[in-house]
Amino acid sequence: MITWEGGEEPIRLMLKEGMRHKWRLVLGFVLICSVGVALGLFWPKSYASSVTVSLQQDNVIDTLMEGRAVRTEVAGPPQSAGDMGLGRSLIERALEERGEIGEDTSPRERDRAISTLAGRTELTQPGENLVTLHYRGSDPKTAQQMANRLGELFVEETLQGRERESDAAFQFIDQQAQRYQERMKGLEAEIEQLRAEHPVAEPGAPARLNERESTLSQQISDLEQQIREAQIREDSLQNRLAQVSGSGPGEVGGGGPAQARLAQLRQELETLRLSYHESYPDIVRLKRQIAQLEQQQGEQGGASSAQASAQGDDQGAAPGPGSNMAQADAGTGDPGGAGAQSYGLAGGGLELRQGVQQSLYETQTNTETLESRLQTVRSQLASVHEDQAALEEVQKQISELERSHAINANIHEDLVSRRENARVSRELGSAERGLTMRVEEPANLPTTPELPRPLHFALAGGVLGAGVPIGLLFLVVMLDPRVRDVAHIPVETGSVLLTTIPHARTRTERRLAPLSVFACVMVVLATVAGLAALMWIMGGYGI
Amino acid sequence: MASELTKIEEALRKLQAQSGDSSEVSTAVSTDTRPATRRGSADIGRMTTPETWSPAQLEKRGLLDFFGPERQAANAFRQLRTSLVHRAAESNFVLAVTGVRQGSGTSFVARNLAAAFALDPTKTSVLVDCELGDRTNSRMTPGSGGVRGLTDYLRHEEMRVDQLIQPTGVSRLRVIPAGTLTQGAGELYTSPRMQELLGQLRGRYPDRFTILDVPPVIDNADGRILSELCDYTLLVVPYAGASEARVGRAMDIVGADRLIGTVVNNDPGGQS
Repeated sequence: MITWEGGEEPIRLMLKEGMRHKWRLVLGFVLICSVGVALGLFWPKSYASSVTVSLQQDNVIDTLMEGRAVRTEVAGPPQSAGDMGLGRSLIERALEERGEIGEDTSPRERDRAISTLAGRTELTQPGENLVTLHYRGSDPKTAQQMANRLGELFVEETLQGRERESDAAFQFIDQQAQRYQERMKGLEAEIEQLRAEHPVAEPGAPARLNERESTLSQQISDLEQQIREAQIREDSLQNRLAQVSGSGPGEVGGGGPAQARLAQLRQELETLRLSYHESYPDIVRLKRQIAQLEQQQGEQGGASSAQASAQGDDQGAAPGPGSNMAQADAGTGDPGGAGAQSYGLAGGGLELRQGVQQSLYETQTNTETLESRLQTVRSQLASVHEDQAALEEVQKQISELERSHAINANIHEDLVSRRENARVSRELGSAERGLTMRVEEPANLPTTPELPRPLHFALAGGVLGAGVPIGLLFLVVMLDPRVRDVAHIPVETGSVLLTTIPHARTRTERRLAPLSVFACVMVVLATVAGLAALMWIMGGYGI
Repeated sequence: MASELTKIEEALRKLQAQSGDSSEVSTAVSTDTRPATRRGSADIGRMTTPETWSPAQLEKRGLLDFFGPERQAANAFRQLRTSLVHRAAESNFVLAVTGVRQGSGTSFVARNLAAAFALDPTKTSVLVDCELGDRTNSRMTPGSGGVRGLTDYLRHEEMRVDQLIQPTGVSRLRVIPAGTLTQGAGELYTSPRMQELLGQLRGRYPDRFTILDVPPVIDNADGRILSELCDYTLLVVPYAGASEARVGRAMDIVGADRLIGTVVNNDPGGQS
């Protein structure tokens, strides 16, 4: 690396080196210029032609159809030209029309042709609703034709795409509507099936069941009342019977049955107490009966005890055979012989006793009948309750299905109305093709090729031709470590003698030196003049 | 100073031309401060030059026409000569001119420096060609190569120094050719006969400057040996032909005590 302390200044050194290498510099200049010119001449010329397409975003139909029909945008309002590009299918169509690719073209060649054409086209957005398609070709006429054709195809493809989109939207909505309809049908069938499987769930069933329940409840309460009445009646008949037995000969054995009756009543009371409170009417009644019986026993005293024991058998025969009543069961002893004895003994009170006995039997039978009926009605009520529970379950399922059905019906209705909107939109799209997008400005015939033109190459060649050799020279002077000046000899100043011996020219060199410089200058001038002439000619022809 | 010298030299040349003879001018006109000894002057006077070379002949032999159009180069040699004389402690000396690499122009510098010494009518110079491979110096002597010279002298004891020294077409410049041996002279240079020769050359005439044209000191043992035999060494650096590092290495080889100067040769831009 050269340092300039004490040495020659760089400009002078450069001049010196320049003179030394003048022919190389001139050669470099001429070569680079020639390369520039040659490049310019052989550089493929490019002609650009463009088509402007206008996109109508809104028009009168939009206003009229507002909220009803939706126009499909051309990929939305183009945000930037970069968002848009020519589709592969469009390019393929253009190439096929020109015969550049065909059926027999290999995929690789096809791809190459497509990417070449894609590289030659460019979409820009000069205005809000304008799209310009630029095409670059090697020939002005072709460029114009291609630009026009691509513009047309672009419009066509875009509109087709839009229709497709609109159609697809319609199809989608239609499909959805059908799906919901099917779903609704399914739900309806399910409800029907559920109703068929569960007859209890017929319309009006709950009301009917409720009515029946209340009727049955009423019947039960009536029956219970009747039974209670019948029991009271029975009790009173029992009492009468006891009294009748007590006053006549029939009454002799009253002590025994009374005891049995008391025991039976007590047992009954105990049984009831297991299930009911003390205030339960039956318990109250039983207590009263027991109290009465005890009182009667107390009144009869110990005097009648002998009679009572003698008449025990007669009293025992009174209920008669076959009776399943409690009172009859309670009676013990021999019914056959005792009966005859009793009749024989009773005389006039017998009839009364028989009448009472008869009434008692009737009352008991009535009670039994009533109880049996009560059982039946109770079981009916239980069945009604079961039905009600089942109905509730089914009702729950049905109402769930019905809810679902209602939602589906809602959506279906909405979809149907949307489908109609989509249908109108689709028809609108195909009906007004020309209104929304059209070629605004057809392609022009380009007259001058695009930059860089040969002129620019020639100019660049000239500039580089001058600059590069000088730059290289500068680099050599700055970076070359070889000694060119005594100042760069690595020695302390004054320690040794330092001299420069200039080049001694030979006689030939002396003669040729001016000529050489002159020739260099002439070559440079001739090159510059040639370049200038070439540029002038090119400029004149607009190349 | 230089131009004054040139005028005097030119006058002398004209005088020579008038006499029609190339013999030495006995009444020395010199600017040299050191007076020539009587014996030296007499010897100089006896020296003969076969034929003065014309500018074309000089150019053919790689010699500058000191009165020709290449004044810058000529003056550079004159100044170099003067500076060397000033720097040298002795009245005369043996100087090795060597390069930092092959093709440094060492022979050109040695030849013309010798010629520059010979410009002074009171001094003579002898150029000893030690570049065995290089034949450029052979043009200095009559005949084309094969002339007996230094290597022959070193090999043959019977040869005398006066048989060795050849006259040239330049006044007061003598040449000792390299000789018939073209390689493997290293051993010969280290012989006492070589030292003896140099002693004779320096000692015989106090006004005679002996200049050896020596191969490069780097990559050549001969160059180094010869450099060590001489009083001083002048290093020739070709313009844009060697890096600073290489120059530094060559200077280290020569040694600071022997290195008298460094010359950048063949500068295309003229004398700085």
